[in-house]
Amino acid sequence: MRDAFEALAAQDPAAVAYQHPDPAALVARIGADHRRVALPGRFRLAIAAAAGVSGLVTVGLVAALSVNPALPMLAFAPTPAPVFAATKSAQSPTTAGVAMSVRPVAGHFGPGDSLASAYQLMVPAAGLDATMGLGAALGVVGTIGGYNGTTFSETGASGSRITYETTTGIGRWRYSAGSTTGLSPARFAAAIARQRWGYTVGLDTRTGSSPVLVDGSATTLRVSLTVHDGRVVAASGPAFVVAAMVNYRLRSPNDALATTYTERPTVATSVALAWSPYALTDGFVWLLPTFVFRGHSGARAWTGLSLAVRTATLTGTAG
Amino acid sequence: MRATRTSELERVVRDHQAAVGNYLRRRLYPLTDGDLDDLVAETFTVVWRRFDAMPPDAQLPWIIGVARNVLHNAQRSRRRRSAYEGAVTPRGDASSTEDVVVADARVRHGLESLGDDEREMLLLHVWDGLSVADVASVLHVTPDAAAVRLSRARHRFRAFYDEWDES
Repeated sequence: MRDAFEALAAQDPAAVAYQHPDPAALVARIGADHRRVALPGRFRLAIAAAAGVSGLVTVGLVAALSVNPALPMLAFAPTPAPVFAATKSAQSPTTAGVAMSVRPVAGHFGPGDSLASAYQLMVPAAGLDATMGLGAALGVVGTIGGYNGTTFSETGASGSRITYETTTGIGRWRYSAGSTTGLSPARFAAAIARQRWGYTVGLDTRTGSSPVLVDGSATTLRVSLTVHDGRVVAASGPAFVVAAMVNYRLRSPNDALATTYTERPTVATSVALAWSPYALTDGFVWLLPTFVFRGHSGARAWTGLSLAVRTATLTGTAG
Repeated sequence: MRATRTSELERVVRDHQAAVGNYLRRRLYPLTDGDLDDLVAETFTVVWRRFDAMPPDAQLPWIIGVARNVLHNAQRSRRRRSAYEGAVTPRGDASSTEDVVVADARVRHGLESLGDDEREMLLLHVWDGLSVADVASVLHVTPDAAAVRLSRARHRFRAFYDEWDES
């Protein structure tokens, strides 16, 4: 009979040793993040979204809502012009926005003004083609390898590298310049715009990250850049297409705040709207409208995130 | 000087990223595999920020201690949101300690017999391969205290494992 500790060791969830997909990009990111506090994935995105994401919609003071649940009507603010508009390219003029791939679904629309769209996201088909297309656009042309069923990689001259993962419902791409000098931010932005993904993004010329826009709306998904001596040496971001769109009625921010943060010794002073990815129980990934609250808890600044639609109304699939 | 520090960072990442990634993967729940790379990056960002405080003769347990704090912070944030958003949590999305261990009910029974600290000690020792001294360093206890508590955890785990009725 197997010993207790042999049995325990056999249950190790990390039986296959972890290997970061791109250690060079990891080191570059760590150096770039040296002066700021980074949080993992979704959490960092939430805070960044509340910190001034373009295209957010300010809907008022939650403090006032706590005594007056009647909401002011949502009013969309214009999106500030990005430094680089990665929305169109000469080669693919139809890639702006997501109009080509959105499939409106009947039966979910209702009267009233407090409606917001949700978007079903799908990983672009043909990971090998996606990898090669991105590689060609970014000047990484070489050996395709490392395919393990969910991840493709392409390694070009001087160690430049593309990886393309499809493990999380939303594809994710990474770029590392290796020992090359990298790309100019303008060329990099143009390359991303050519990918026919379901989003647009305005990229900065400095190290940092920028939210991607879907149908003109800011999301909590971001494209991250590491810029050294004016050249993009590492980057990562999402890859998806929009398969469907559904309109949902927004719930009260006050209700969202109360049900999400039941233990809060917190005062929310503003709320904005952003779109965050969620995997529904049927396995499909949707960008859902989300309230981003800002305020304070004691003397500390506080940011919270909550779904802006009632979960009971989520259909799971768009039919 | 700067180049030296950068190359030292590269060495630390190269030497310890697998151990850190494995440590985090074993305890991800309720986070998902999609968060893993970000957690590793966050861990080494903190390591880089506090590079001078890292003991040269005990780098791995010190880094695991950082990863532990990073993971706890991320899990707390996730759980604050999960009460309401449970209905849209991915189903069967990713492996977690609980999900995997439950595959062997007998092992799960043994682990459930332990307190949080004892379970953490046992898993650091058995899964992460840390010595008693390193376990003590991660959990900020003396080596003697770690040895006593680890021995107690092993004894209790084995007892509950052995008593499990297969029927």
